[in-house]
Amino acid sequence: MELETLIVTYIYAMFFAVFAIALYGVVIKPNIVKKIIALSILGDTANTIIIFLGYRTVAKPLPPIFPERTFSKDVLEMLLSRTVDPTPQVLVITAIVINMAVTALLAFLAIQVYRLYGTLDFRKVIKMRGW
Amino acid sequence: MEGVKALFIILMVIAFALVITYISYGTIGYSPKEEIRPLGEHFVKFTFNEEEKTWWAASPETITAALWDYRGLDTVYETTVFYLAVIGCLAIFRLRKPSFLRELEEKGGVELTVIVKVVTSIVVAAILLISIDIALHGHITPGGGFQAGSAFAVAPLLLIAAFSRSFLEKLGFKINISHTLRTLGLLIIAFVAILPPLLSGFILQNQPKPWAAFPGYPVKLGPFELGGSLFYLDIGEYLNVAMGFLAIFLLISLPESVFKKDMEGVESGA
Repeated sequence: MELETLIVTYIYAMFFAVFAIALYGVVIKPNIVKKIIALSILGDTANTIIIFLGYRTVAKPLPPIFPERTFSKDVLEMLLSRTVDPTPQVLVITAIVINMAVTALLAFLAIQVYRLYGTLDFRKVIKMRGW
Repeated sequence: MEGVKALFIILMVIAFALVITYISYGTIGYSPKEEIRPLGEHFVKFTFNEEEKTWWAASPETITAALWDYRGLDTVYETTVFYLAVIGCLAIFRLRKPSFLRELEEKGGVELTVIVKVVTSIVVAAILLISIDIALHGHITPGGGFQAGSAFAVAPLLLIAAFSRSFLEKLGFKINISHTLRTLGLLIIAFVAILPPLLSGFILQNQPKPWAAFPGYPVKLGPFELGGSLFYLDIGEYLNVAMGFLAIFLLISLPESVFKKDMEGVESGA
């Protein structure tokens, strides 16, 4: 097995391990704060996977930005041969901020739940509500 | 009851395994390739192509160009989602009697030692400068409104930790001001998006196109590169994200006693 394939397989294995742990936390943990932490880990892992898909196996990869703010055919060719794929980055940048906003909203909801019921364990909350 | 619980756990495990398999199936076996994908190639090829201006976005920064020009409508909706999320936070944390806030301001807060305060003020000044730099140069160097706003978000957090919430309010970072600036940011984005259709272009048009009469936003103002509409959109986005996070942190740092006082007489769970 080549070293490159090995590294890629390792990275994927790590992604799925973190993904599985985060999914476990979201589904199984009764504490709302732990659920929120697991959910943000889940979102970040998904974003990292998407960014990783944009990587190219070229020597010395570049960010997709024209250096020196000048355009010429040579610069464009150099950039096209070496730059990483911009599409995943474009997709992820908004997802990160939306993730932050959703996490903040969930944190506010958790604080409100604690204020109203005196606990963050959702099983106890359900019992108190009599469901 | 026990049987139902066991069944539930078995179903959970099966669902869990299915989700993991499904996600793995899509990506495992994929390895990074040497060539660039067609869509990415299109973005890099045309974003700053001065020789073929039909598709260009007048910005050497491919990410910002794609974000606000090639898929601008999508980004506008995401900005709106962020705006609404902050409104949700405000709705949950609204006070029935805002007069408590004034009492709190008069009382002041507990501050940390001089060393922490001095170091924090230096770091906060650097954070503010860098976030403004990222926002204003988003169309020519790595960065943009989203990134700058997220960088700014650290500054109020540090100030709340080292100084106090009332110190932040005395500096002028008030919730009402943050709402005003946040809405101003969204209005800037809306104005820049709607101006071209009023001048017989299409929505969120940046540069002139052969099929639309709108002449396009100016690419340069004297020696300064503006990248068409990207510059204004980045500023609007910066205001929206930065002030949104400021409002969130100002609300979340309110002491619990204020809410206890405010919720007096309200039935729990009602």
